[in-house]
Amino acid sequence: MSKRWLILAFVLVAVAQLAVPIVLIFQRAAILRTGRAYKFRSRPVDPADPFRGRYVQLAFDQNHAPWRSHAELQHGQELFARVADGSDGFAVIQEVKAERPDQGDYLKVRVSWWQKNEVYFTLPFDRYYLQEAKAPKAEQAYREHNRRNPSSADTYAVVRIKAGDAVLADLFVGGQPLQAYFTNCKP
Amino acid sequence: MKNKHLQWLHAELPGLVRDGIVPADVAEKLQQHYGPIAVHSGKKLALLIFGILGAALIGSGVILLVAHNWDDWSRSARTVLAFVPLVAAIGLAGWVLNFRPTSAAWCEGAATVWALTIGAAISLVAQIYQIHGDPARFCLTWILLGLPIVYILRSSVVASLYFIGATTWVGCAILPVHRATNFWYWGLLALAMPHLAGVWWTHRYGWRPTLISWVLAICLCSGTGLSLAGALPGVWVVAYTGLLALLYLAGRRWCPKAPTLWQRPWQTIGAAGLGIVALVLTYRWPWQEIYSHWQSQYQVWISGPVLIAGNLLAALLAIAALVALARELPRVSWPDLDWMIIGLAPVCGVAGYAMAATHESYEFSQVLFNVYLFGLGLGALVAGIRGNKLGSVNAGLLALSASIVARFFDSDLSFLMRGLAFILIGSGFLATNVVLLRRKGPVAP
Repeated sequence: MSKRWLILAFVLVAVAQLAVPIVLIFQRAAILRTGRAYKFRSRPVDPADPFRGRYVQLAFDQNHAPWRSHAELQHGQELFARVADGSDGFAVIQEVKAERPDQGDYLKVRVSWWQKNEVYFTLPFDRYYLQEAKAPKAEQAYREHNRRNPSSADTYAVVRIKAGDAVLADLFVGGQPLQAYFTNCKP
Repeated sequence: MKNKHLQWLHAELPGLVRDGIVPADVAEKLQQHYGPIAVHSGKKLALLIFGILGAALIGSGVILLVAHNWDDWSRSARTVLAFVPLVAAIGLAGWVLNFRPTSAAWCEGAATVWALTIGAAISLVAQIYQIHGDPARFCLTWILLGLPIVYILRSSVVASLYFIGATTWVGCAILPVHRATNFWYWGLLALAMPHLAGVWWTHRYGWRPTLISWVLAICLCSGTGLSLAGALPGVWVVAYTGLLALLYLAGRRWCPKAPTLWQRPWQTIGAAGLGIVALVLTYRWPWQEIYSHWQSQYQVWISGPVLIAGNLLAALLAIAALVALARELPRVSWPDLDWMIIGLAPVCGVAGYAMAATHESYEFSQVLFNVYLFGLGLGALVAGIRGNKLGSVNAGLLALSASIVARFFDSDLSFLMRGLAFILIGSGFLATNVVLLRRKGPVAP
């Protein structure tokens, strides 16, 4: 390969490498700006990702829905879950289908397991990354808060949804954003 | 010839000429034939190794620093920070390409940092924007974006990382929904093969083809099974006996004069892997499920094309190994007995699998591999004794012992009998080694 071609290849590769994370940023920023916000009731724990650092693993009450189709399901299969606001102000998964809904907000979810007429799935926002020292404290704070207020419904994730894509905007503990919770009531 | 041997030759020749043992023109021809002593090759290698290690450590350190997640900073500031390592690595690579294009240490070091920072940039953006993502897709994006580095900076370390990444990808894509894409693994491997072919062509026993070959051979050992995830249960027997025999035969054909074990990755992984697989296949459990899976409708969730592709791949590996064996057969002699038996592994694999799939009893397959492992050990032992190769003798004894010991744990023999058998095997090891060492002559102090 001559030097001119090598330099051209180098520039093209560098542009492609920078473009991938930039496209990711623009997509997510657009969802955060214009997507509709929903509140998902959550339960956190704290594992680590070797590349992305500490995060709070989130589990949600809305992780299953009726399955009315006769089609075979596969572990890991992508399905579309219709989302709406429930009477208590928290998000509700109304139904899950193999086809993309024509109207209303929906999420792309992955099948975890299923039984007769019920399908259980993973939501696409089950991790909340934060500073390494704060993740174990966040989990501890959540436990403490739940012990003191066993029937409270003020621990939830705010998620913005647009055209099937979702971005986790913030995590609330005790009705406050996690950062504010750390500042106001140290666990 | 090794550099230390060359140094010895160059030191000895003047004395031999002076004493009239070797004529001067012969001495000159010998010097020309073996070439000059590589000056400072050790220093160059050390520089290269430390350059790559240093680059990998700095790259990993930067990733960890940024992964700390400075969440007191604004999202924009963190986003800019996420790009700093990648932009710096691209800058360094550009500088190396312009000013140090012939330095292996600079090229490999810069390429390693560059490859690591691609994954870091994507991961960190995912962290900042709370993107969960699919590990298989992340891995595929990373390796495909990193692949051009192999060719731009001619980096064998990044080529090795690429093979590891491709195998990790096929490991992440093992879910049933991904199964139709598992066979892309072979296509991914093919994308970096021109680099391996290039460095092998330049210097087949150099560090570059040797490093890549070790990594690729190990990756193939796990990647083959993972890419067969959608095929029929038990097909792995055909695929692995074919693959490992093929690795060994390819090594024998294309790197026949490798001076050290380090320079024989294909033969080493092929022979050792085949010994392990043959030992596993002497047990009952790998065979007992095959018949019931064939008869039941358990596999209805597997799509037709995936099933066909998996079985075809396994068959191709076995056929390729047999073709490689057939090409070598006209040149067979006693010291080659070991590799001839290795080449027969896919025949046993296909026969064992066919019998286990079509008959409820699996004793035939089990007995077949007991005989094969015994034959493999015996072949290596005989070839080693005939060719005076201590390594081959010990490998043969190891295979024979494994075959005997495995059956001893299966059977109901008393401790007394087992004890006597172990003593006999140990004595056989010692006696054969002593005889061979005596035959080789006195050991240098």
